[in-house]
Amino acid sequence: MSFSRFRLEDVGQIGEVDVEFGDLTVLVGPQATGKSLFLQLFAHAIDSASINRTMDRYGLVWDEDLRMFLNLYLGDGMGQVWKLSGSKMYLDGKKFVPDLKVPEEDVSDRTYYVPAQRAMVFRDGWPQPFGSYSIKDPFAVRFFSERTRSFLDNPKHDMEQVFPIQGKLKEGTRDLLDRAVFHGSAISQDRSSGRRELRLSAGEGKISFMSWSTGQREFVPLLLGMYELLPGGRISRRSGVEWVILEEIEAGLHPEAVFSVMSMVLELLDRGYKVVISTHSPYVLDLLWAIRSIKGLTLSSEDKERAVCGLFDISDPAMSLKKSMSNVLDRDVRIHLLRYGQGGMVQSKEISSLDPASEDEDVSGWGGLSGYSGQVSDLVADFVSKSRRF
Amino acid sequence: MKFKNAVNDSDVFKGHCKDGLKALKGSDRNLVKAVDSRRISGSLDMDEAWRIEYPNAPRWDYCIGYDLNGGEVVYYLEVHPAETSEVSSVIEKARFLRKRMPLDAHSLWDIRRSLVWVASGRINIPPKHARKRKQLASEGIKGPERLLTLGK
Repeated sequence: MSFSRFRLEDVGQIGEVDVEFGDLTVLVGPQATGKSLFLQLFAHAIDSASINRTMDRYGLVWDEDLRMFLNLYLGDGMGQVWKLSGSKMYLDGKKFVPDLKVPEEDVSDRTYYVPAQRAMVFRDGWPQPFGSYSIKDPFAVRFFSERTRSFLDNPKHDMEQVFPIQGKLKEGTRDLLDRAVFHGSAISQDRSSGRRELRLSAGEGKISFMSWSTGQREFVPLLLGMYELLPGGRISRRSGVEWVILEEIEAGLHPEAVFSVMSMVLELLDRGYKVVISTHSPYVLDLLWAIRSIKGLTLSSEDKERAVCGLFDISDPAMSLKKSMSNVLDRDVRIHLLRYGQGGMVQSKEISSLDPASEDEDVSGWGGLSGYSGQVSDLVADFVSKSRRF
Repeated sequence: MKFKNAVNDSDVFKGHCKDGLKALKGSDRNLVKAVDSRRISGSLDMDEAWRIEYPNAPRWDYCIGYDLNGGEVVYYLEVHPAETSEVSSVIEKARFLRKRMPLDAHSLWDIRRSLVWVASGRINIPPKHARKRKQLASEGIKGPERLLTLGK
C-alpha cells in the first residue's frame, strides 16, 4: 500500500507541515526547521511494525508510553515534541497517533533510512552494531549502522572490495563516483590490524577511515546503502522496501560529488523506489530545475536522453544508463519548503515549479537556497556601479 | 544636479527627456513600477537618442530619474530577453554605456546610479547562484529581474 500525503500539526517546532509526495520528494529549509523530525515520524508512520519489533528485539522498552517511545526513537529529550493536547498526525488525510504496539513476528522493512549522521556509524573503519550505541541515540542512526554492518558482514554480498565493484551500479555511475569522490582510489576490507576495517588504497599505502577526506567518510556509508538498495543481477529492488529516505545527501561533498549522488537517486527512481531527500544544496535544486525544464521541452527521446546525461557530464553513456537516467522525466518530483512562519512555528509550502520568474520569492528563490547568493550579487552590482572605475 | 537638468546638459540627450515614464515604449512601461510614482523625475530613451550617432553600437535602452529620500538616483534600465546566451550582449551594452556616458552626459552619469536588466519575457537563467549572474554583478548590472521597482 502506498501513501501520498503526510501532515504534522503542532509537533515540536512544527506548526503545520503538510507534504504531498511525488516519486521524488525533496524537503528544503533552514537549519532546525524539523525536516529530520518530519522524516523520522513519516518513516515510523509507514513502518511502525518493523521499527517497533526491531526496537523491542534490542531490548528497548516503552510500555505504551508515547513520550518514552519518542525519547527512544528520536533521541533522548525528544519525547517532549509530542504535545499530548495539541499534536496531530495525518496519513493520507486520516488522523492517527504513533503506533506503539510490538508485533509478534518479524515484519519486513518498507523504508530504508539513511540519516544525516551517517559518517558517525563507522568507528575504526567498521560500522558499529546497534547495541554499541547509547540508548539516547536516535533509532535511525543505530539501525542504519546495524544494517550497514550486517550488509558488510554477510559473505553472500562479497564485500571484500567495496569500490569499485564490477556489476555494482551502472558503469557510467561508477565512473562519476570515481571522478567526483575516489579519484582512482579503491575501498576494501583490511584485516592487517587484527580486526576488519575499511581502508582506502591510494598509491602503495592503505589509509584508515579517519584519514579519508570528509566527503569520502560521508559518502561511503551512503554508497553501502545504495548497494543494498540496488542489488545486481535480475533483482531490481531490495525485497519489501518501497521508500528510501536520504537526509542531507550533500553533507561534506563537493558539487560534483553531489551530482554523482543524484545520479544514484535517479537509479533508485528507475528501480521503482519512492525517494525522499532533505537538502541544503542549491546544486540539487539546480539539477531538478534543469530536469523540469527539459521535461517541458518538445524534443526527441534521443535528445532528452542526451540532455539528462549531459547534466551529469557522462559522455557516451551505455544504453541502459541513458534509459534509466532519462526515465526521471516521467517521474513526479515534489519540492517542499519548511521554514519558520509567523508565530515562531514551522510551516511548509510546496515550491515544486522552481520557476525563476515566479512572483513568489519562495519559488523563484528556491526556498532561500539561492537568495543569499542573490543578495551578494546585488551588493556587488551596487558597489561596482558606485566605484570610480566605472 | 537634478535629472532633467542633467539630461538637458548633454548635447546628445538634450530635448529627449520626457515626464514620468513616457520615454519608455508602452510594453516596457509595464515592467516598471514605483514605490511612489510622484517621485519619478523623468525618463530618457537612450537607445533612440544614440541611434543616429551610433547606429551599430550596443546601445543601452533607458534611464529613469527617481527622487529618493536623500537625493536622486538614475536607474539605467535594459529590457532584454533573459536567456543565458544574452548575458554577454547585456554586458556589452553596459560597457558601451560606461564608455560613452562620461563623454556624452557626464552630469547625468555623476548622479547616483543603478544598472538593471529587466527580462522582456520569461527568465530562463537559473537563480541567483549561477556564475552568469555573478558575471553581471561584476559589471555592475543587477538582474535579470521580472520588474524594476523604483525607490525600493
